Amino acid sequence: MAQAIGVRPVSELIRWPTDDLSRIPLHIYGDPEIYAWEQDRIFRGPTWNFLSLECEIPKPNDYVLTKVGDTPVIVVRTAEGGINALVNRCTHKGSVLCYDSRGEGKRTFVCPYHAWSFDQSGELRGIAFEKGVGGLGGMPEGFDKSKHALTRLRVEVIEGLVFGTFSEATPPLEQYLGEPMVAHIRRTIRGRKMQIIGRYNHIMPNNWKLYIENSRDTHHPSLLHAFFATFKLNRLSAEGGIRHDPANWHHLVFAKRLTDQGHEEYSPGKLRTMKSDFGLNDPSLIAQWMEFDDNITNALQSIMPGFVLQQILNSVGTRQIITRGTGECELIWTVVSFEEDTPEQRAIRIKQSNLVGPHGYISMEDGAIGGFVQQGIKGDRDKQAVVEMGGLTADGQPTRATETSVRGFYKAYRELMGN
Amino acid sequence: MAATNPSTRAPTISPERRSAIERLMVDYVHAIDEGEYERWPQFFTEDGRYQVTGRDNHARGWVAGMLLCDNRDMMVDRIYSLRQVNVWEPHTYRHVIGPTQVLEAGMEGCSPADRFTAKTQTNYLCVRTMHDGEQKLFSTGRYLDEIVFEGPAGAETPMLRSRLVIADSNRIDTLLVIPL
Ligand code: FES
Ligand SMILES: [Fe+2]
Repeated sequence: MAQAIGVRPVSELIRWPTDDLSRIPLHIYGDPEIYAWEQDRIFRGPTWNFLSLECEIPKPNDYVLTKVGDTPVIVVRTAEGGINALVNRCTHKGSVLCYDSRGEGKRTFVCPYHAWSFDQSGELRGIAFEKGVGGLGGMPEGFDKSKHALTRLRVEVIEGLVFGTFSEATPPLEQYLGEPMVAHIRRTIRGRKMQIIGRYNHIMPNNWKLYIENSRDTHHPSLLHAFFATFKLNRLSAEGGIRHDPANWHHLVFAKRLTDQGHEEYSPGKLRTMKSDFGLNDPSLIAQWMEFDDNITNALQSIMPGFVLQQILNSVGTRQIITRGTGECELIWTVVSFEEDTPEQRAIRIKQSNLVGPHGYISMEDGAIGGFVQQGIKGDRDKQAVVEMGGLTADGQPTRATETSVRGFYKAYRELMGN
Repeated sequence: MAATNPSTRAPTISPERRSAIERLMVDYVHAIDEGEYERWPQFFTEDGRYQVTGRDNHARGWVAGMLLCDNRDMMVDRIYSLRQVNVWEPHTYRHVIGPTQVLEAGMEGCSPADRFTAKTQTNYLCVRTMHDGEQKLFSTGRYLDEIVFEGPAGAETPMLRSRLVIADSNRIDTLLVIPL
């Protein structure tokens, strides 16, 4: 399967201005031919793409629809309890098989158009009028149904997060993520059972890469997001850092908001009531409890190509990027609580959803800023972005005043795109 | 027959109270559409609740809405942030609201100190106009409200004790900074 049909080779389309990772040619944010290659080489290439939360398909035969890049995908809990992911495209003429975003009791997928039917593994099981009517018509004798199965993705699950890959070449999920990323995912979810408490479908007026870069841009938060400083949340003495996987594809940025105040109230498990000197009329917005032993209060983990695991205070959730052409993308935010949460903890998570999403005190600006870039670069496709803060490479660095993680994204991007 | 269907039986509410509620509805959208955002919290009781959610979230019982404020101070913080803190491309809203349907109405209790309350719903349509003139249908949906009449007897005014904005679409284009 391919989308890059009749388009020029990548080597003709993208010329990186320098040998290092410090320059990004601006036309990659608006070129439909490059976009077509990204679909093939990144989203349908050797990458693990987030598909859904396991808790969305709790029972056998539950299904939910998702997308990998532009490709519509069905995620189904099989009758045996496993999880399969199938491209939502009938192999007859291409209609989607499921058109309702979720459902239950789905043992077979019957196409609405001419009723070809597929099982949960994607095998073609039935063709209406296969033998014709009254001995006339029908499929020819030699038609081999086994050659017309749905495209099936490999699936792996970590801590209730379901990932899929189109490529046989993708290493197993944990190997792909690398040890530091696996450790942080396990630390954040900790085997707890997720319950969705909200979902926001955020349409961003920018190329998908601009959002992913933003999620890895560690030096913009204190500059763009004035909320931190205005409400005195920006504790400069707070510890923080960046971690990468060995290949520098994935990235984790974190901060320990309360480390500068060696007070016993910050000990794990203790609920902290904010004082009014934080500048908010109602500081309950940022009340939190120390949920994690490592005292990390903010962590964003960005997994190549389009997945983010978020912990903003006690707001835990996922972000999934869906491509929508060169100049637009959709970010699906899902915020969760855990089965073991107390009602008070759950209420805190619900209230902190004010910080994230298209309405988020902080993240609303990330919804706007990609559009600002997309507008700004319109007349200058031949120019380039400069990402040189912190050097020219994508190494892990002990500071957030660096663009190393953005360079890491382009390291992975270039390896996948093959130039 | 309409008389046997409880959903179409009109709750008892005086014409004065009904028109006071209608004035509240109209005044609310004018305050927002004319950029008088500081007036927005004043439509609510002190412990008033405001929340935007999507129809699908609402149907699934997913309660972590957008712009969730559970008291007036939180609303004041939101407006302060909108004015002074957040970075956004200037734009305005224009709401068009439909007639208000009174779902329930009556005295909250039986003592003289008790107040008159009503549950209502009102459809809205909201167009967003950007500073460069671009217009977009930003949101449609309904307001599901709990209204309480506050103030001295004889001069009571209706206030929102709760406004749940149920947007038909779960999608938000770019950002949601001005309340709906
Ligand atoms: S397109 Fe699916 S059966 Fe014809
Ligand atoms: Fe940001």
